[in-house]
Amino acid sequence: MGYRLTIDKHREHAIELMELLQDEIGSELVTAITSASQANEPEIFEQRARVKEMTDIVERLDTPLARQLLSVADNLVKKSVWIMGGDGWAYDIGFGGLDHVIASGKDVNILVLDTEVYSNTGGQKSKATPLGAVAKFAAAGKPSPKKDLGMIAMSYKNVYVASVAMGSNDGQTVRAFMEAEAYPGPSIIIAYSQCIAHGIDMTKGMNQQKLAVESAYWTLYRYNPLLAAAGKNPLLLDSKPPKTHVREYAMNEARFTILKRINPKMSDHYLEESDLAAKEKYDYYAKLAALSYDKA
Amino acid sequence: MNRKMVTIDGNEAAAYIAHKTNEICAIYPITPSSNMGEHADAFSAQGRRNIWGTIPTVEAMQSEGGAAGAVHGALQTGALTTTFTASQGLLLMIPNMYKIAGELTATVFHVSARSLAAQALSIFGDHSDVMATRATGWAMLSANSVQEVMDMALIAQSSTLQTRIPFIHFFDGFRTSHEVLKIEQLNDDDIKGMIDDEWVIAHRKRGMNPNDPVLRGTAQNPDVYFQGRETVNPFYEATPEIVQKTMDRFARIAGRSYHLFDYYGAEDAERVIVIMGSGAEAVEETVDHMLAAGERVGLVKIRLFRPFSIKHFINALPASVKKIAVLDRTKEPGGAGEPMYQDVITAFAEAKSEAYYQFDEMPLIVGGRYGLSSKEFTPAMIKGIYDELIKDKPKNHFTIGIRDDVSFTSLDFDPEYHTSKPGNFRGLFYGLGSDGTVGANKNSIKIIGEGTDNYAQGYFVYDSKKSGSTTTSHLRFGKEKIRATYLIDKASFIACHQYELLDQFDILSNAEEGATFLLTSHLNKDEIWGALPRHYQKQIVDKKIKFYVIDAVTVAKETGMGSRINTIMQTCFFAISGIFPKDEAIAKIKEAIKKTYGNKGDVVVEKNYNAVDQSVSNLFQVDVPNTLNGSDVRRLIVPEAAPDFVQQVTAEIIAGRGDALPVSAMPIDGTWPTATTQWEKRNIALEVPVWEPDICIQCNKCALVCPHAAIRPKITTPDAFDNAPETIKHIGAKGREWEADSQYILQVAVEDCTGCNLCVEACPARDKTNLSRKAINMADQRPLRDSERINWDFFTDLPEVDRGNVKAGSVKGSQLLQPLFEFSGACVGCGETPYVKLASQLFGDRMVIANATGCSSIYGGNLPTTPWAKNNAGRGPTWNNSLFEDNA
Repeated sequence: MGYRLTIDKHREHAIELMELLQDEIGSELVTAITSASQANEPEIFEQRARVKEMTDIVERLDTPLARQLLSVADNLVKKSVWIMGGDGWAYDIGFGGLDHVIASGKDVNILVLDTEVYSNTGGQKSKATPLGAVAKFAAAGKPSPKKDLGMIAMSYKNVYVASVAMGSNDGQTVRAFMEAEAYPGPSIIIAYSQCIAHGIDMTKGMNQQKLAVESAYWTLYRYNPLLAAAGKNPLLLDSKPPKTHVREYAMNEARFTILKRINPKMSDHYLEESDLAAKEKYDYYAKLAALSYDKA
Repeated sequence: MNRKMVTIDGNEAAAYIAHKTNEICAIYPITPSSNMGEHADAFSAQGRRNIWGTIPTVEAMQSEGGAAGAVHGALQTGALTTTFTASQGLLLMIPNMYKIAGELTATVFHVSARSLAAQALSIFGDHSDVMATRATGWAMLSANSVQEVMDMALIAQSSTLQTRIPFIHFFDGFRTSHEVLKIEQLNDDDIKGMIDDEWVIAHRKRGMNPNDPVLRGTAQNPDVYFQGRETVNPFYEATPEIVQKTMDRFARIAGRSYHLFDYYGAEDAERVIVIMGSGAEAVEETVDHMLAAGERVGLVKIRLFRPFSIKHFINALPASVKKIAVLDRTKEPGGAGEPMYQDVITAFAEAKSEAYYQFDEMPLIVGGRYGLSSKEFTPAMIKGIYDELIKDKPKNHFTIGIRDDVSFTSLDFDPEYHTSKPGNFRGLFYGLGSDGTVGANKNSIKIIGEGTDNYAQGYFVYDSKKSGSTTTSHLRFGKEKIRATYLIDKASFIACHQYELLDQFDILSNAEEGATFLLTSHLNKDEIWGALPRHYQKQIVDKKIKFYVIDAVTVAKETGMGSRINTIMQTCFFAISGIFPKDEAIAKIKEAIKKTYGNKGDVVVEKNYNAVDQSVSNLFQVDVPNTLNGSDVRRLIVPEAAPDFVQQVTAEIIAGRGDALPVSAMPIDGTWPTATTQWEKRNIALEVPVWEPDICIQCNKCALVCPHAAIRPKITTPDAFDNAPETIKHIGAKGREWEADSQYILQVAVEDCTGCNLCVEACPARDKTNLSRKAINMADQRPLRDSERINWDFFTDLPEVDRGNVKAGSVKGSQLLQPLFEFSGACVGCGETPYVKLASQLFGDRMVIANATGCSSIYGGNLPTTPWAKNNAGRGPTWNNSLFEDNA
């Protein structure tokens, strides 16, 4: 957030300074720089060239204003602000800040690498940990379900939200990154990330992602507020209807099978409940995605 | 009730007492304290009860701030409540700590003291965190060893209930929190003997209850706030005496005697070190050694640091003291001195006019810093400090253990000074984080500690790479109590659990004469000698080292253990170390396996059993010839093409010589260059992917899923291959967007690949005549290393694709863009890094990244090398790790 504030402030100040030096720089170039949309990479490259042309002129001026302008001119070219972290940060300790930032409307991109545990400290449960998974701090299996961070973000309406799993649909992942970055407001991508803490054969990580989506354990979607502005439903459900039980996914992961051994009754109970919740969640998202946004 | 001897680490010792003496634990993970919360959670899950017969409630919160808040609430309603934390986590608790102390509430926080993030984050141990809380009004009690952790945890718990002053009970992160030591476990009677029921009932009674309503936490104004703040003074004045009485009561129960300030050394000592924490153990050992040599030295161990009792401190010193060095394990830039130094100066200044002051002349007092971020603190350094005190004008505000060539604070010392006694077992085990070496060694210590009358100590050094990270296990066994709170530098046994590490470290440099060396190698006992580098051969001959070899990788493969060679190497260790008779050792290993892997199922246990049996029959002693015929060429740490900074600084850290880097080599403000992982050729993959152009459909899915950016495609003109290396492969590019004759190349960085297999799994193209053959297949890395290194260099020199021609929004197109996140230290098969890499490909040349602490900040910013990279124009992501709690 601090990065965004600096970039915006320094861009604003650079424009003020360019306008003061308009006679030296040339009004045409100043206008071209200030009005550039920089909507895609070729346009950004063109802007870089324009700013270079401008700074070449300004460098020769060697005045206090010119030196001021040179120190902030880089901010006239679009920068891509990214906030990255894991689920321990995004769902728990950093959630207050994350919530504030997505509510701010500022153009930042947030990538949540969701391993469903605190991976770095050795696999303690977070609010992203699913029901019934055994983690540290949840030695008897987590008794509460995973929080739906995407749904919370979507409630702001002006936040781009994507839930991705590249092992299930890699094209959707790439599209989500492109759309998130292009969206001129806050964006959040929640990315399913397999982890050694799951107790899986790591060579099959991408296959687990596939099974996660097939069972609706994980839902793929993109919520783009620009669609709503255009009178369309902003939510695109990218998952296909579930075709397997969550069990098919979970039984490849030690975090679930451990409980099966130590407390089979609870394990079965949790798995049934998870499966039910997964299917309910899919239905709910499907209904939301089917709502009409036609303003007529 | 008899007391059990147990072999546990400091965290478990603290958690054991905390769980026995509390009703509620509000927890949050932070290294190196997380294990305390994990133990408490596991104890409760197992149904273990506290001394009052109830199972404590363990509640994980959303942050340390939340944990401290939950603790405050639970205390205010009368429950015995605790938490465990460290570092920034403790700092997040400070606001609540003021309130808890201001309300005179009894509780103990158990802290494994750790560095704070300043110019960089560090997970390792020093007192920066606890020192930042010394104004909160909490009592601070230090434990210097694992045994003391158990003892002081209980003394703190008992004291807080009597004094109503909350206690921080702390011990050094990693050095004590993670040191495994054989100690005496206090039993329930001991614990009950230290806590009177009436104190507990009084604590509950102070809890809020609507049946007897009160109000706490008012807003007070200038008229009364000040007076309200002074009401607590009598409680602080009474605390030192109460703690001493509690220590005396403990001595009667458990037989171990402690004092607020414990003096150790000559009765007529002239030179004294004042210290707190694990370093005191090493000083004590050194004092013994120096006393034996006739030197008049001593040490004061500060145990109760807050409230600081001047009288007790002054009285602890012998009247003969002339010079004092106060050692702080923290740094307070801009201060008049570090905290303990200032307290000692104040103590003398204040005590001068008191009746108990016993000095004719005030001793000369200097302060020094040591051991920041678990920097080694050895007898050699300690001797260096005592020697400095001989001088007329010893250096003040000195540092020890580093070379400070910027502000010249550091003291010199003789690194050859040792205190270790012959006869004790001192073993070094080099391995990888993924091979289970540490786990097996922990088992070994338990087996030896609990199965013999030996004292046992284990300490484990990790680098923070997540894949292919190296570990060094330091194991000591002996008949005497072990006080060596530093690493082993004279080993009687050395095991190398990864053949590749021979190149990376000089593994035998710490071997003492007549030591035993165990190596795993793909070469057998007759082939191995000629393959050893000459400096290894020379050390083996010169030091008369007994040399054993086993092909643990093959044994592991054949017994279904995969890459985990730990059990095999552990068996070999027992077979040749002679600590137990062989059969007994094997039975004990199997018992330990059952305990460790039992919850993973019978199949895993059986596999391990089989591996044990196979190990013994595949272990051979090498006949050491007298001929030195090995190669004298040492592998370059980084290629010659690497930039100066990488050569001079990064390479030294990679080589394990970071300790020797002087202050001047460090960036002054924590700013480091990006794009340096490319110079650290780690060669950690046993197998790497090999491309079959004829089968490939050029979908680039392999590149997308690669966690380490080690398999990359490019599209180029045919003439680009005019001077190509012999074994390079390329094929006509598919797709109408390319000019005719354009060539497609898929290249693997075999020295950077971790061998995770994700690319092969993702590959959708199969040979129609042989369905098991894909467009990429795994093959042994070693034979490919030299040719593929040349191919990779050629590939990186090929021009990057014109970004304007690429459909970046497609999988295929995105992967033609240069990754600006490469070769990170993330786990083999990491699920996070493919996304991070993708973002760097799409937007890397204009990215500004704020990275919350976590795996991504460690594989993204952990020294020695950094994976965030630059394109040919010098542009690339710029990155900072903010804190964990406020990254957004």
